[in-house]
Amino acid sequence: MTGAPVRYRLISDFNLETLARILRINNPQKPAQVTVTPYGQAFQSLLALQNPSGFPDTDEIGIVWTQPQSIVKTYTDAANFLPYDTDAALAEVNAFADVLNQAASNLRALFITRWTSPSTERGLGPLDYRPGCGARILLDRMNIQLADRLASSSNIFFLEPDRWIGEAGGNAAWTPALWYAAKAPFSSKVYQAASNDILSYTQALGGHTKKLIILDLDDTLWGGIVGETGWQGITLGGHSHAGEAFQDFQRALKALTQRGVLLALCSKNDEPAALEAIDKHPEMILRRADFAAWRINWQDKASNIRSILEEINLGADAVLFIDDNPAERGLVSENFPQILVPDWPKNPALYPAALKQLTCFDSVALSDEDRQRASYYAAERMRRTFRDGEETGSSTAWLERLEICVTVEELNQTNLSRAAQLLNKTNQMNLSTRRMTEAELANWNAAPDRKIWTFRVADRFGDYGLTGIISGEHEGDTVSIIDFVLSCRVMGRQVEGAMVHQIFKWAKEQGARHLEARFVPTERNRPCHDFWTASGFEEVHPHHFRWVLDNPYAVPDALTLKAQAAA
Amino acid sequence: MIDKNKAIEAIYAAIDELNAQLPADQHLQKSADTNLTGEKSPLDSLGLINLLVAIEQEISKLHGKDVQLLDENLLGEEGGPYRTVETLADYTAQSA
Repeated sequence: MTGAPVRYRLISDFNLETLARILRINNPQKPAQVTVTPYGQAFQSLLALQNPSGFPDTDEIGIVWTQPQSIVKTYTDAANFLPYDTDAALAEVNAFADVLNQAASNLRALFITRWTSPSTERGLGPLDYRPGCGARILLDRMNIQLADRLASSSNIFFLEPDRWIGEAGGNAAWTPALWYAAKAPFSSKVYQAASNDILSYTQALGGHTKKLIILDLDDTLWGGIVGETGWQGITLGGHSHAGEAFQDFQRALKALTQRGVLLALCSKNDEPAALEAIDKHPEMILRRADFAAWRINWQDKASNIRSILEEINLGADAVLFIDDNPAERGLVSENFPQILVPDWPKNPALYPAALKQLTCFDSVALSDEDRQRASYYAAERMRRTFRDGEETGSSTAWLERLEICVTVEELNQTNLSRAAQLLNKTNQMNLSTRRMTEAELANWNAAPDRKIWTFRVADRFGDYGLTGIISGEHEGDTVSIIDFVLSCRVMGRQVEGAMVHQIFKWAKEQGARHLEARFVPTERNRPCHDFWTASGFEEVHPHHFRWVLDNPYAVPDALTLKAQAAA
Repeated sequence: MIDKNKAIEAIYAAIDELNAQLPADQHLQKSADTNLTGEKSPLDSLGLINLLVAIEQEISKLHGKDVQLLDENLLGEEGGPYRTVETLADYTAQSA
């Protein structure tokens, strides 16, 4: 599912040809194939997507952009100041939602543009938000009803047109001349902004989300030079407008950790002075525990970033770098073309908004694991401290003292969302790098000869969450391992062996004679190849590993494997 | 009526906006003799309409003038005012 051009199908009741043109060229690295269905036939086009097999057999992403008056006739009454029946309007919304849900089951994903109307139209003025009277309140209710009715489809996502209209100049975005001449209600700037959002959503579908922000300190997290003034002299909070802005910027960063984004520091500074500010300044929002790693020293930032990435075990393409100094930004861009280095405003008052406007954190799922990721890394620092304090001993002995417990559970509705997220985000320990939506994953698993397990990992320092997936397919005398995915947080803790043991047991139960794994190389999954090379499996052909099931494949001694009790 | 140079300035701004919809090898050049209609132009009718409306918006934004450039009767005329940037600038300057 990687490498192929992205395919979009545009469905609308107005002319979306301009959007199609922009989408085709908006990502030069990966041109899109765009099909535009005849406008004015949204219902018919959606119904035509229904696939007799009942399974999604396409990589196509549907984009539905309609005007409320063409889908919900009752809304037209409201817009024309006629009495209307709210329930009748919501019934029309439900009918549209049913068609959308059905269409989504035959698509990789469906992006739906929320209904909007020109804010300059006064409607009923003071009465426009009175229930049963104004059109504005009905439109909001219709949008909420639509969102509620579509919530059960995990591959449907809403696009926000008011942001595009704002970017395109607000009132100027609605262009009656284009509407009358070409049945396109918006200026091309709106479609440009829409295309950017669609691209961002598509990248999120593929798991291309930034996972780590590496930050400078002086004049980035606070104002001033802490090495010169001490923590008492930096600008942060208090009654200074700049201080409040720096504090708000820290709040925005802290909020991102709730979405699974990690923070790290890379600053040319004296470490004791900088850490003292982080620990002691009463207005600091971010404290030491909020950072997954830091390099505070006088070395060049490229070397320090390399070291941080090694410690956190992430690739450069997962990183955003924020620094007030253009020279440092240039150095990092030059050394790490994959790192996103946005131009940064000079005025700290603009910092929070600059961060909140970034599209690189868009993701299509938000799991408990995301919310707890920062604490996972704090626990990891404790593990390292524990290991560093131990007498020199074998790696296995250290792992045993960690008291690792792996809990295995079959794929089910409860863990499906996190499993799909892990499958789509993991690059390094990933056998085949299949990318699939929740619906695709569930459908694949529904076949009788296939099975998917998820693995949760915990140790004496905390819970790593759901961090592993293995899937297998039985055919003849062979069980093939299709997915073998493990988060970098637990790589090298022998969890890999426990996962293989689980599928080994299933393969035996199926009466198979061989267990096989075919490694599909990517730029990033060398660690996975290293595991399979050392796994004990015979490499019968390059990248093709085999285990004869007569031989037991035991759970590694250093950990405990247990099955999750059925809910 | 506006100065022809101001009309060209607005046309060039609109060309920048329009080029975002076109592959790089079909970008409109910002020069007076660039063809906007006929076989030598990369624009189809929707592209030309988008360009004209973008110019109208630029004139409105830059000079506060409400101008109507889009005339369906002129769209099919190869020798009309939409022929090149130069002829369109003359038409825009007169219309504003």
